[in-house]
Amino acid sequence: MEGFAENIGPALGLVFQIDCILAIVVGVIIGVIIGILPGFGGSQALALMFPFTFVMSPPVAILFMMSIYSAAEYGGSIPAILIRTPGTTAAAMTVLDGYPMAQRGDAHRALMISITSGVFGGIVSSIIFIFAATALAWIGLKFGPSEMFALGLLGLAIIGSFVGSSPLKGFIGAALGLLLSTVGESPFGAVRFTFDLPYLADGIPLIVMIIAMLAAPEIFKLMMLTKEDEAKRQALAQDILTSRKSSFGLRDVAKLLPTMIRGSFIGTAVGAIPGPGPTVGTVIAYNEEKRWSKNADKFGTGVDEAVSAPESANNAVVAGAMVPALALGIPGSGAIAVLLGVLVSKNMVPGPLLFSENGSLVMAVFIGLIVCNIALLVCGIVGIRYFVKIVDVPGRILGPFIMLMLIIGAYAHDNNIVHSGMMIILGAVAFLMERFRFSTIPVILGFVMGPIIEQNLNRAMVINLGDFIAVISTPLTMFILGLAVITAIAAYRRSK
Amino acid sequence: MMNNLLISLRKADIVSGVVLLAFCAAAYYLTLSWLPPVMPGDPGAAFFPRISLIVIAIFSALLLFKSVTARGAAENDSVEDKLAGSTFLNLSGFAMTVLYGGITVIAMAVIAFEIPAFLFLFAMLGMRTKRWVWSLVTALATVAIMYVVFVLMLKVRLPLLFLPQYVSF
Repeated sequence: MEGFAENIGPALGLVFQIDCILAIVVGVIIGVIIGILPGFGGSQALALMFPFTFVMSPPVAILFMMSIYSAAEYGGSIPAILIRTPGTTAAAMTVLDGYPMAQRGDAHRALMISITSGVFGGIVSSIIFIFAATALAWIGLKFGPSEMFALGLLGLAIIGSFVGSSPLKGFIGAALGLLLSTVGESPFGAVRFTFDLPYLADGIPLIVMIIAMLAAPEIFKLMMLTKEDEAKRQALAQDILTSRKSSFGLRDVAKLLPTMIRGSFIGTAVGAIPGPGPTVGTVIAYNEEKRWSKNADKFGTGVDEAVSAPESANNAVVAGAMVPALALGIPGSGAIAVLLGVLVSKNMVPGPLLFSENGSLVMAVFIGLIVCNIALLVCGIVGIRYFVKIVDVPGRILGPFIMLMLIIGAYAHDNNIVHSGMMIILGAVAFLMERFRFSTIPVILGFVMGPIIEQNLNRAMVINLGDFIAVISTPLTMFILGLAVITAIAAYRRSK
Repeated sequence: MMNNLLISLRKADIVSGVVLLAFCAAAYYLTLSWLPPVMPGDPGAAFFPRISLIVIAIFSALLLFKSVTARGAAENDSVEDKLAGSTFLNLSGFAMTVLYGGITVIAMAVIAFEIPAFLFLFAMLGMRTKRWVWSLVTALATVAIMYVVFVLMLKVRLPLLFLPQYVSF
């Protein structure tokens, strides 16, 4: 626990400043509201809110975005339970039992299980990582440029194989992201893929890519909703508000405690691995709970444990995912990639040195997550009856507002209207990619990790005097690259 | 204009594979004109993009091979099976969305933020709800809120035609 004693005091001082607390509370409210909107999860919420962080100090910006992410992951469960439309992919498992509970009039109980379990998972994983993060960062210090290059490739191999309908398409997306990251000026002075256009000299801005790849496809879908699609959405939404209120008290929480603990540990462990993310965490948690449960045959009909397990795992993944992101600079999901983007925009480079140079800030992140989960519990319990009304807003009306906000958001990065145009074009491409079952998450991950991978590769090549074989021949590098190849092959064979 | 297109995913994958391979070939050709490395050991500006292009080309070729050798939809397949192997694309809706967004961006570049933003919202809301007075008021209010939040509170230098960039009290 080296570093814990010296960092805990400053970290607490950072978190409990009035602007940080305000950022957490506002972030929670925004995150829940955005997460409720079907199609808008943590990634989209962060992409939408990214421009607002330009004027915030580093701790305020990070805590604001972390709160939005945590709250959006919970918010996605609300439409999953109420109208069988998960707001996030991770909430898909919640549909299985949450929606049947809502259908028999227990929507309020399902929502209470969701909020309680999610908060429990978030707090448990945050506590674990307050103590474990510095140890993991020490491991990260053992990695040189060759190892970091290999680790970046492993991260992309895992993401490509887990996300989307086909690993082949995932790997293509990840490599496309790597390629897009090379647009503009290279580290050694040459200009790449600019076609003599001055506004491409600085490359494609991260905010433009994030908005285009993550948020724009959903906005395109909202803008293209027909009256028939809208009528179906509204008919489903009307069923919600008439559900009867079932009690949910401390006794129920005590009964669900073993489930919440199992889900929290599974989510924490899965989150620490760069790649799988909340979705895989919730699937594993649901399956494990079914194995342990005495009511396994009733799973899928509206069982409390079947809602609690994935919800605990869902929020536990958030803290877990921050460790490889902060310690090794490897984002495990699109949302974490955005969070890393916030750090980079504040001139803070993720990696092993972040723990030694900004240890109190790193610890403040995890303490902030605990505070955020407490705020989420309060907001969730108080706000359930109000938040549900958001699903009532017709998508065809919501679409234009959000599209305008995206245009302004892309402009705000550098006061350059060309970036808004870039966002529309890349957003259209991203929409078509998703129509043809190419997930855009590997693209954004490749884009974020591209400069890190290239920089480490170039350093390793210079150190080894241009000998690429020497770069990949260190034992640790070969082991990591071997894992990446095995992951890719296993994923390809699984897809056949 | 074509509306909802039902596109076979197998055919879409074949086209995607061919387009990606052609893209990789063209992009690789572009890298041939870049400056060679100058420092000892430096792999040069083209090294990493070429690796990315080779990876895309390999996986695109695999995708193409997998799609070409896969079984296409047969006449006696059920409707559910045919739909599962297809995707819908509302071509006119997609084109109009890109057009509306593009026109708004170009208009903002030419005549600043206020009028294009208002017209975009007014037109979109009016066409969707047919409540023109409500759309007018909502569009005006939204532009005002965005001005306050982005320009006054967040100090974003939006191009403005008649609203002030700063307000002091």
